Formats: sequence, C-alpha cells, structure tokens
Amino acid sequence: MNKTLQDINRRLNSLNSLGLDVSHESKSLSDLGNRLQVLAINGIVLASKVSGDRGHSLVTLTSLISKLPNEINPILKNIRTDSMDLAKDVTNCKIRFKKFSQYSRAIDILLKGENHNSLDLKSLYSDNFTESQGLNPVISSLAKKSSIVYEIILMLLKDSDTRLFQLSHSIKTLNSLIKRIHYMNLSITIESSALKEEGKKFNGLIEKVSELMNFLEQHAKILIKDIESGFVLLEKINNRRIIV
Amino acid sequence: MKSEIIFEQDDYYWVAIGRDKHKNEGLVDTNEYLIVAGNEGFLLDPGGLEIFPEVLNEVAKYIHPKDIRGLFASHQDPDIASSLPLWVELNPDITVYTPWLWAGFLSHFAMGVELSFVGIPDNGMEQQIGSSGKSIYFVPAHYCHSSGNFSLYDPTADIFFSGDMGGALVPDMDYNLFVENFSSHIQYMEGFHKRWMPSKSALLDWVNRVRAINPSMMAPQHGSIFKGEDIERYLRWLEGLEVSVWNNESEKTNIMGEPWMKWKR
Ligand SMILES: [Fe+2]
Ligand SMILES: [Fe+2]
Repeated sequence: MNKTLQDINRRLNSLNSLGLDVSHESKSLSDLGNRLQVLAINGIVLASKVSGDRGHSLVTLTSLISKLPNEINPILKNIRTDSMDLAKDVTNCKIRFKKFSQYSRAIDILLKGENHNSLDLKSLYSDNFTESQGLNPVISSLAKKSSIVYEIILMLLKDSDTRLFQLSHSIKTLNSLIKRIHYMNLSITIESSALKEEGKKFNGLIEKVSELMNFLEQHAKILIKDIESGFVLLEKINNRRIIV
Repeated sequence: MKSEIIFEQDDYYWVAIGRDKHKNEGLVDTNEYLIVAGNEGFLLDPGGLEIFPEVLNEVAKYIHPKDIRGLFASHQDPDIASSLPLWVELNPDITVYTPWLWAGFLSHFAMGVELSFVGIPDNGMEQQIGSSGKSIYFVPAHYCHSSGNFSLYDPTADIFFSGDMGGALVPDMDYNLFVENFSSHIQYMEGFHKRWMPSKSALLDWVNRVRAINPSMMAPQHGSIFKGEDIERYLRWLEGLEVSVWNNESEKTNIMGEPWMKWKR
C-alpha cells in the first residue's frame, strides 16, 4: 500500500473507532431519562405534601422536570442511532477501501511490469497496441474501478459528515435541556430552603438531579470532542489526492 | 508470483499460476489455473483477496481480463473464492460456477459487488468455455474436503484439476511445480490430507472417479502437479491413508486436563 493509501486507511480506522466510541458513550446514557423521571415523580409526591404557595410552586417545578424526560429520551435515542449508523457507514467504507487498495496495488504491479518481458513501460502507453494485446486497457479499466471505488468512499464520507452534523445538533439540544433542568433544580433549592424542616426533605432530590445532570454534561462534552475530531478526520480524508 | 504453461496445443493452453515469493507470510500458498481457448479464458479457483493483484498480473500476461468467460470456485474456502468480487467487478460478464450448496455463502464475500452464480448440481455437469466449442466437466468431489466440492476434468488437455485433493504445503516457493519424487513429496501432503479430509468413504468414491477418467495430469490447488504414473501412486497412497484424524489422545485418557474443561477445575 502506498503512503497516501496508508494514511487514509489509518484515518478510516480512527473514524471507525470513533463511531464505536460515540455509540458506546451514548449507550451509557440510555436509561438516564427514566432515572430522572423517577426522581421527579418522587419530588411531586414530596411537594404535594407541602401546603400553601410554596407547595404549589414546588409541585409545578417538579412536574416540569418530570415532563422533560419525554424530550430527553428521543434525543438520546437519536444520538445512539446516529452514532451506530456512523460506525456502520465507516465499516462499509473500510470494506470498499480494501477493495480499492487491492485495485490500486494491481495497477502498481501491472505498471512495474517486472515479469512482462515483451512489454516495457513506454509501450504500455503507445497506441500501437490493440485492445487485446496491450495491458493498457487492463490498467485503464482498473484505474476506472479505483476511481469509482474512491468516489464511493467520498460518498460514504459525505454520509458520515451528515451524521456528525446530526449528532452535534442533538448534543446542542441536549445541552440546552441540561441547562433548563439545572435552572429548575436551582429554583427547587431556593423554594425549599425557605421552608424549614420540610424543605430538608428535598435535599436528596436536588442532589440526585444535579448528579445526573453533571454526569450527562460530562458525557456530552466527551461526545462533542469526539465529533469535532470526526470532522477533522473527514476533512483530512477528503483533502487527500489519490494518484494511481 | 510465477506462471507457467503446462499444456499447449494450437491456441488452446493451460497456465499454472502460483509460488508467490512476495506474499504475506501468513497466507497459505495456492495454485490458480487459467484455461485459454482461442481468445477466451476460464479461471479455476482464482484465489484469495490478498493475492488478487498478483494473480491478475499473471493472468494479464496471457489474456485480457475482459476475455475471461467463466470462473470456477471448487468450494467455499477463502483461499479459493475471496477474490471473486474483484474479478466480477472488473469484468461483470464473467459467469461464476460453484457448487449450488455454497452460492448463498459465497455471497458473503461480495464487498458491495453484485455476485450471481451458476450453482453446479451435485452430480456435476458439462460446461463449454465461451464460444470455443471446448467443454470442461465438473466432477463431484463432495467431502473432499468440503461438503459441496467439485474437481474439474478437461478432456482436450487431459488435465484433471483436483482442488484441495493432492494438495501439499510445500516448504519453499522454489519447490518444483511438478512432482519429481513421489515418496519424498508425501511428507508435504500427509498432514494436509489427514486433517482436512473428513471422510474416507467419500475419498474412495472420488478415487474411483479419477480412475474412470484416467487423466494424464492432475493439478491440485496447493503444492505440485502430478503426471503419468504419479497419479496412480497418489491414488494408491490415498487408499491406504487414515483421514479425519487429529491428535486427541489426551482427551481419551484425562478429560479433566483438557483446556475446554478448565471451567470445572
Ligand atoms: Fe479448501
Ligand atoms: Fe485450498
């Protein structure tokens, strides 16, 4: 394999493991929405026992949180689907790439023509050879295959590009949801701290929600980093020129 | 990789391709055969994906790949058929012949290429090479070693392509293309046959078929080609060979010492 191909192959491998990383990362988030919902429902029960205006606003806040998993779950599902599709695309691309590199190696060997005693390299390009005599048609047909396969790679990479965009969009939405939950959690903290003994009952809920959101935030950061390096890899693969 | 014409009569010839010195060390060495009839070709067991560039290079010395009419995959093994999609993509007019049993399985090698097969029925069949008027015959070799497996006989050249039968894992890539000393060649065939051949009765049936054909040359997919009397020597050696064996003595004496029983210790 020549250096350019090796380089592309290396980047494809990185992109492949990146897709798998993202998919793995998103798997660990899959039941997060449900966990949040259980917490919020417990919160509603607690809030309903608090009397007066305070109790009323606490019920409103906790029930708002309890509704958010309905928004979080589809986003997490999208992230999982997109990242799995990304890994699948790149694997497909790897298979086609293997084919491409075998064609490219065939062209190298044919052009070297080390065993073609009767044909020297120059004669390959002369027009004196008829179709069935010269190797020229073999090489040009292989080169055509190579470039077709290369186009397939580019096409697949374009798909990967779209998926990466979708992923980064999902994560942005996820981040704004996390912010909203953080804000509501803060409001519950303020409302409940105004209550005396009764308010302490909310501490566990507040702590757990913020733990969950920090966990989600952390993973979203990792995903964003992965996606950014995915874009860089795609850029590098796209910028390579293949000379056969 | 080398290639050599092993039979030639007017514009009809057989080329043996193999002994690849530059191939990856982990790859088992294989022989590929090209039959050329006029300006039409038929390729037998085209080999693995890894050696496609080298095999193509040798084939291109004799014939334009677009003139290959048929491709025969004697059975499903990767050393035989994993290059199929590259040949077919290069020349979509190629017809691929393979045991009907394996057609659906070989499609797993497709790499995104549309593969279609002519499934050879269990009892074998006759096939013409392009429009040459010359016929070749697919001869049943089931369980030798694969459960769906064919040898091939070419009456024009009187050559019998035996696939893995007669195969040998030769010590180096300068080893002779034709068997020169049968008794000393045995050491390279013995392990291969004992382990890869699963059925003695299938093997004896196949021996009968070869004797009925009585070819003057027998060309295997690994190792060296047999000529004349060496074919009968090989068949007799085969009749006396115990096959489908592996060294499982330890299992009989101490089952608890086996690696697969470690969980119980
Ligand atoms: Fe085999
Ligand atoms: Fe084999």
